[in-house]
Amino acid sequence: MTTFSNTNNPAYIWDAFNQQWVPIGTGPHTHGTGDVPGVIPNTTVTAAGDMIVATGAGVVTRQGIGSNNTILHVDNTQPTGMAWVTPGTALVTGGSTNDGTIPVASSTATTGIAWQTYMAAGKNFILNGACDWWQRGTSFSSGSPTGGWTADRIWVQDYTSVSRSTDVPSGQGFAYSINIANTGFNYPRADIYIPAEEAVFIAGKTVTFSVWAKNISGNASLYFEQQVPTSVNGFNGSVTNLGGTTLAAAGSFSGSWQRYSYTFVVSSTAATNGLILHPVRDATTASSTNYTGFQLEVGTQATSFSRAGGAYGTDLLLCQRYYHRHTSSGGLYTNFGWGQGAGTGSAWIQVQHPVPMRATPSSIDIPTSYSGITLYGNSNNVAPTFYPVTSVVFDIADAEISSLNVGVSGGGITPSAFYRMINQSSTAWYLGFSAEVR
Amino acid sequence: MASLPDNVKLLTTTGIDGSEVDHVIIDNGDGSSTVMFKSVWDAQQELAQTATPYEGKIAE
Repeated sequence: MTTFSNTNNPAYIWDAFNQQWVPIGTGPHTHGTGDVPGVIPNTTVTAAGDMIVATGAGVVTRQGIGSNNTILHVDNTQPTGMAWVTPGTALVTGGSTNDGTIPVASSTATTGIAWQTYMAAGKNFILNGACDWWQRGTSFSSGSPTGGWTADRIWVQDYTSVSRSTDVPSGQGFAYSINIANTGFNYPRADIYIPAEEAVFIAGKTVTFSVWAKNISGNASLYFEQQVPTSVNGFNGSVTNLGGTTLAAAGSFSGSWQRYSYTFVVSSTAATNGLILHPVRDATTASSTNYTGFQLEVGTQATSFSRAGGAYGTDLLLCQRYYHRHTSSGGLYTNFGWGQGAGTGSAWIQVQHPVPMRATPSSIDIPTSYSGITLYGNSNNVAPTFYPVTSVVFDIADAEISSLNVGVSGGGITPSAFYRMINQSSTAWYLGFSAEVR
Repeated sequence: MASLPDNVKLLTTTGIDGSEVDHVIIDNGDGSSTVMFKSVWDAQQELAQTATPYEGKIAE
């Protein structure tokens, strides 16, 4: 006897139009994928993380999972319109192949991102990094290993000559480089002093130093290192050498312009005592080197060069906080200051500095000869006359307005009367003030 | 008072308050002179006495 099941099963009728059986009623049954128009086969995906994506209207395919830690980004060169990439690699075709560029939003770029150079005021902690400013002159010679100030903010040691050069890396925007030549000294180096009040922002941080350099002559290596003074801004005294790295090995320092960089952690001591950086030709008795584009920035990459002040003129103003020189560029009778008679043999001449100096100026910088420099004035209602200057010293040193005690030969100065200090017959005269760190 | 180097001359002036002030005028030998209060120069000389000689790179 037939046993009837309690399980529901469908019945089937023949669809003569589509030439297939069609279930009716309820109960388990199966279909081929072709039975249901538009169905996506589950065999499209084959592994964990696979995705089903479109390659066009009504067409789908498998987007396999990427490797660990990759990210999915839009890529219209792929059939699926997307691709997996490793973070940090180029998201925009032809973009990040330029070292030091940064991504920015771009409504015209396909991906909405474009790469561009990074120039910004304040990112470079080295003033006059482009070697634009040479207030003290454009050529120097030294027979002492102690060296001296050359281009603004660059103290050079172990040199025989330093000069401004127009030999610069092509297409970078620089107008000048600094040439450092030595014979007889062993470690010609360009000291860059960053005082504590500036270094405090980078102390303990990872920074990148970069510089364009060119070997003019000599086989010595190009080395870079950091030092810190052992007292507050004591750049003229005891320092601790913290070492560095060889930028170009002996015999391998190129005779063509190249940009060198070194990433390091700034000593925490720099926050209180300041920081010394220098490229040095190591252990040589004769060499000649050109440098330009000094830059120190936070981070691990040497980005596009920027002037510390962001512009040609602002870099000068920042340098003038440390040193400024008033020259005779106005020709004869250039005014160097004015004031009042102090006694019969001297006057107090006031000089306003172009910007407030970083500290009370410590010294005055003048030619050894006073030839042609005079005080011009007289007592009230008397025609002014010239009084040859014989000495210039500080009366009161001040960061904003300094007062000078200016002596003259032969007396004749009227106390309290008005006098100007001018170059009567020499355009070689200058008057400099230094608030430098050494 | 210790004698000054040959290239350094001393000049004493009277300040606005009537006090006497010592200055040094340093002949740099290149046609330029550096002028400063003697007290500043003394401090710089004292610091320079502690200067660390540079002896080349240290081990990398």
